[in-house]
Amino acid sequence: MKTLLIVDDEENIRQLYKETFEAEKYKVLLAQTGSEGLELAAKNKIDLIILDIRLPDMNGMEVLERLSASGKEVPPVILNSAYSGYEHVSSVWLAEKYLIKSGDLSELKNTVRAVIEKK
Amino acid sequence: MPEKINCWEYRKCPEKTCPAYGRRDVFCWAISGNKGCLSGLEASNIFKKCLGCKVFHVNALTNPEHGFMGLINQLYVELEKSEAQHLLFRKITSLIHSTIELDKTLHVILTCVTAGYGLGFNRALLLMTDETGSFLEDRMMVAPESKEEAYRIWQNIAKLDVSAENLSELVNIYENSFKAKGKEYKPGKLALALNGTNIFTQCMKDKNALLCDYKYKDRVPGDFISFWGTDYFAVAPVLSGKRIKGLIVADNFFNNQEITREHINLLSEFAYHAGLAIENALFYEDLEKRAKELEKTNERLKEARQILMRTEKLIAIGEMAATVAHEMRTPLISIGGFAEIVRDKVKDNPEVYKHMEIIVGEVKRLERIIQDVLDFVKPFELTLTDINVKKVIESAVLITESGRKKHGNISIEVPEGFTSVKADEERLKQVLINLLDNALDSAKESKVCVSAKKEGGSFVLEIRDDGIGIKAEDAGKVIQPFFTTKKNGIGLGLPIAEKIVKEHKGTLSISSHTGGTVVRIELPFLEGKL
Repeated sequence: MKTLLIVDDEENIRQLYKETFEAEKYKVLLAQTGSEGLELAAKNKIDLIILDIRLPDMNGMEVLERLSASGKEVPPVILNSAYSGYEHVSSVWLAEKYLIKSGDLSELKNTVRAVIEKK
Repeated sequence: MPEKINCWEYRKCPEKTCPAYGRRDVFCWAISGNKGCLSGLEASNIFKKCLGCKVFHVNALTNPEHGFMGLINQLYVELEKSEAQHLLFRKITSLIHSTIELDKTLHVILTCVTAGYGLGFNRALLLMTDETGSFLEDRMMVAPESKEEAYRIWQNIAKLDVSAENLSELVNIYENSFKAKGKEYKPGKLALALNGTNIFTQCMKDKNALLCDYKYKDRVPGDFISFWGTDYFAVAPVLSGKRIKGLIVADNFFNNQEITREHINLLSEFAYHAGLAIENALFYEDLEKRAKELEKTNERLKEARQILMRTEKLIAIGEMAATVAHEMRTPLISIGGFAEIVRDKVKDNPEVYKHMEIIVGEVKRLERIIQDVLDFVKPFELTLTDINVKKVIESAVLITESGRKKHGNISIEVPEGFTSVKADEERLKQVLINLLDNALDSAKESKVCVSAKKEGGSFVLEIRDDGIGIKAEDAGKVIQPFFTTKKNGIGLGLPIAEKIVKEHKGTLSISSHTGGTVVRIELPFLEGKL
């Protein structure tokens, strides 16, 4: 079973993603902040991270940079934000994909599937 | 004894320094009374010589008619006339400095040239040089139609005690009498080339007034003679500063009176005033032009300020809209996401399933509205890359059709060999999606065609449909934000498309009739390297 790490400060969104991806037969880990996410990534074998950009302690790009700097193999990351406009920030290119959050989860589900299969 | 007799001939006078010597238009004061042959300064100079003449002495004392009293009377008349002329000049000068209407001033000057105590010419014509300075064109003329008319007008004027005080009355009589040829004179009858040795060219070159008589017979242009009717006239240059602006021509066409040196001098004086008037008028014209320019600049400044204020307001509204839209988006994601989960769990309960479908659909609609608002209000920068035109169009068609039941209604026309341009791929795709959406809504079942081509220096995209077209009353509004005829639209599709096209420094135009609509996008063609 593949493991997803979801980093998002919104309780409802975390819950939504957890239910959605568990129904898709993934193991789902949840983190509320950037540092929590980094901690979970360090302790567990993660196959893919769905990372929000606006987080209470740091932004998604910073999480991305710290992951790359940790020296460990970095799992693929899908940046998932309610905001567009970060597409041209350089560290965004460390992520597999940049998605705009939507209530329609099909795009996110398809992307997760594609990235994991590619891996 | 003959009535008119030249003193120097009669007396065999050897006095060559006398101003009367050798002249045939000056007659002996003492014998003939020197009737009206001279005036002003000239007369007084000759008179000084007469005082030393024996004939004058004898006759002045013995002849009661032409004698001393006659002379005094005549001198008195001359003096009066000079005084009147002097006043007239002063009046004209002040008029010139007080009026800025060129035509009116020029008309007054020409009138004075022909007025009794002014110069008493029969006719006066103002010729002005054209812009290139190579032609003289008629600008204004003051003249009676015929001898009869001239007589009538002069009678009117004779009744009037012509002096500086009633100059305006005089001008009125002239204006009324000569309306057809004076103020209302229609120029453009003459164009005299300024070349060679013709008399006008010479007058302008010398900057001196001259009398055109038999000596210059061959140097008067034929065009002018057929227009003016005679080759005997006086001509004086009109100077504005150092530049010659034109000429005044005057003559005694109706009464054939001789034109004297004094007449010429006076005409020259009038012409000088005409020059001042022109200079003045030009100055005022220039001033007026500058004032108008200033006014326009001011107007533009005001407009710019208003636009700025409007823009600032729009930016503020935009920022607010963006904030609200973002805040609404997160809860909507939860609603939409959970609604989908619930919907998938109630597949076996058709009624609840239908309700859940509605919630999911409406959330999607709200999300789309939020995205549109964000796209519209957010400033963005283009990322120009080499794009494959056909692929971008195909992708836009695919996305547009994905939300619809019927596929395959859109045909794509891209000429062979036309592959790549530089543009912002995602934005251009969005433009196409917005326009194709409109076209499909309008076309219903009929075909929609999207084409791309190069036309001159432009990259042209066209979206055509055979649909219902845009109603005439809506034609001006479709491009306005939040105008929509659709049940589910918020009216940002076209404004967003236009905004993106404008960012590309292009234009978006819509032509519509009952048989369909064509939206044409023209972008500067930048060749891509794909």
